[in-house]
Amino acid sequence: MKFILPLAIFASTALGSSAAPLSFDFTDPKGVNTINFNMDAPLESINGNAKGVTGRVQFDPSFPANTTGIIELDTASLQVANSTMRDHMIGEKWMDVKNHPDIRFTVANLNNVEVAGNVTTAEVVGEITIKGVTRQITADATLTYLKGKLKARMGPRGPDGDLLVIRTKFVVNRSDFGINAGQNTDKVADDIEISLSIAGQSAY
Amino acid sequence: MRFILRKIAALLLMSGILVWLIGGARLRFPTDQEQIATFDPITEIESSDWHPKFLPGVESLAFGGILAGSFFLLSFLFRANTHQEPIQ
Repeated sequence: MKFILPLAIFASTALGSSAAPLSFDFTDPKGVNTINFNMDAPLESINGNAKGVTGRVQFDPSFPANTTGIIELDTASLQVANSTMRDHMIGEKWMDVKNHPDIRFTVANLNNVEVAGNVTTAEVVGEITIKGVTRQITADATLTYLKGKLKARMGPRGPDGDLLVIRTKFVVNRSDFGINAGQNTDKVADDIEISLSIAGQSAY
Repeated sequence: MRFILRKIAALLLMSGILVWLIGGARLRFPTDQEQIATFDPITEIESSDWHPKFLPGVESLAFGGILAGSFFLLSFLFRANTHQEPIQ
């Protein structure tokens, strides 16, 4: 009998440390998840966003370095202030939405992880696939784990659960992904600054 | 006639400038959608939604200027009003 208590403590500690990571769904019912992009060319600055974010990220608050996941963006949700420009952007010459309906970010692992309270800062290592071209990518990111905040966000009838907010910024070159490479660079910059601010939910 | 055409030219130029100023004096191309910022207090994510709204760009200024210039040049095709009162 005297072994039962220490055994129980050991078991609970061992189970606790090897708990499965939480799976966060980034399909946001509130429609807040946004991926912004900005292109600053000599003659024109183009900025817009896209809200068709889906995907899942596995995050373990005890071991944030083991974070993995996939975030997908519906290319048809790309939006700019001018509808004619948008038609060009999603057309065959540029993003070719018909043949390449999504952009995919794959998170392989996190490096240089620093945790301060519920905020994890790290270097995200992964891949980005645009127009069927996959490139390695490294970007600084902030992951904010909001334990038990899902109900507060979704309202009193919403489920209990946690939230994970990911913020990151990085630059890709459109020429690397065959987005009308080398053309119209006076009006459409080669560098595309991308910033993500997305929230995922994990219901209990 | 020359005077009328020049008056029209001035009006067109002023209209172009006025439309451009009212539209926010933007040195960009026209847009037909406006971004309205939103904020989610729980996640603290700043986002934006698009709403239809026409905002003229620098082209309204240029268009007004070109039209005004055309009318001004057109005015030279007509003689200036040199009618003088007969000397009594």
